[in-house]
Amino acid sequence: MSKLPEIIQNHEEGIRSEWLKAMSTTVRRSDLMTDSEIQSQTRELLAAIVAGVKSRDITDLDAQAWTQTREVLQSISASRARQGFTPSETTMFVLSLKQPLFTVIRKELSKTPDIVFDELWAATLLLDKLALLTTDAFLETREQIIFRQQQELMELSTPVVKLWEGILALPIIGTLDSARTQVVMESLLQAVVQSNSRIAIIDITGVPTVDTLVAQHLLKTITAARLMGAECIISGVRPQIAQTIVHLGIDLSGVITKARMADAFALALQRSGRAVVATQNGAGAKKQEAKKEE
Amino acid sequence: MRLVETVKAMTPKAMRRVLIVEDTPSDARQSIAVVKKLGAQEVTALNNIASAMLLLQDVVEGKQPPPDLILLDLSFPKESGFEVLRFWKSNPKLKAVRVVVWTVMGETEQKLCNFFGVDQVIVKWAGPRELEEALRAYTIAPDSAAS
Repeated sequence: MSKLPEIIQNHEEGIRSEWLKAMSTTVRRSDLMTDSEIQSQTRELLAAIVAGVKSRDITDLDAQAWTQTREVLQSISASRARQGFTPSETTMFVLSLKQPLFTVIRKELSKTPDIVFDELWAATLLLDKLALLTTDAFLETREQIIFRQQQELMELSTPVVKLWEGILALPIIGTLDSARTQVVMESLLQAVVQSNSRIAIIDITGVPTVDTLVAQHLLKTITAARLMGAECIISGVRPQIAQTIVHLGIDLSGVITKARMADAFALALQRSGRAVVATQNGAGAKKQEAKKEE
Repeated sequence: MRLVETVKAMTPKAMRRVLIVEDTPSDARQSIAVVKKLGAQEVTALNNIASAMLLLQDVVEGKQPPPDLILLDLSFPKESGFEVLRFWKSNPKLKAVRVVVWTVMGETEQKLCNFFGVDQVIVKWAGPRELEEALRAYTIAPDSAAS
């Protein structure tokens, strides 16, 4: 029968104060958390460990008795992941419990050196498992953060701008993959419906490469918009992209393409029966400037 | 106020005045029969988008009473039924009109209908019985009408 549960229970406060001392030299980050925060976290976690070891099963952390410990550790790791701690700093929070715990074990069982090794091994197993749990929880939180940021980036990267009454522009920046094209397509079609637009300019100046798949996605979007009664103009076709399109044999014959967004906008205005003209004031000012230069 | 609006939204709307926009004669006949069977009293069937747009324009200008429901086909030789959906969506005065799309169409068209927020999409190949079943939701049942 392991004596570890009794040892931890009997020396809870002593272990905790030594643990805090050990942390102050290793993972204490006063810039990220206050003393009171770390005090309450150590108290909470140690109380949960005491509750867990009472079950006498100190190796199976999936057992019911360890639920509280798992929850406390997961919550601490999650908050540290959000606060900006590194994975090793977070893991060391648990691993720095080893030294104070080992010291107490050695003191308590000094008369029975044979048992010391067994208890130290049990304590090592327990703390290593807790440390692994910490890392898992930390990574999970980071993954959640990354996923949320990806979603936000995705939304931010597909703005649909209303250039004029009935004319929309969709500047695409970055690589287009299937998932992103789906978002692009949906936001464009949604905007066409909401603004009742007749012309949509898809600007690909910021798209580094166009492959067959991207071209297919673009053509699909154009076909869908056309079904809804909106014509699409692709602008920002750089010479390299034009070469790639020709090289890949992609048929863009049914699609209006323009090199610059300005040309696409001029065409869109023309198609909707509008034109941009220089005002007399503007023309006069230019003439005056020219005279001055002379 | 909010509760009343919710109840109104949940209550099936009467289908007294129906506009059918359909260019295939047999489908037009079938759908007219179905809506009449379901209690429609005033049915207008138009076989082209231009006429439908003129009628809706009159509704917006208050020259004609609005239909309770538009049963719309999407495939037409000249303009598409999406033109009607555009007009319907962009005119707040037509907000109360329910639109049911009845057409032979693919997945893309169905998705596009969702963007417009049409009340329902029914595929033609399912047959007139399916249309009747779907449209029944837009009629007031005799017992609820009496109450």
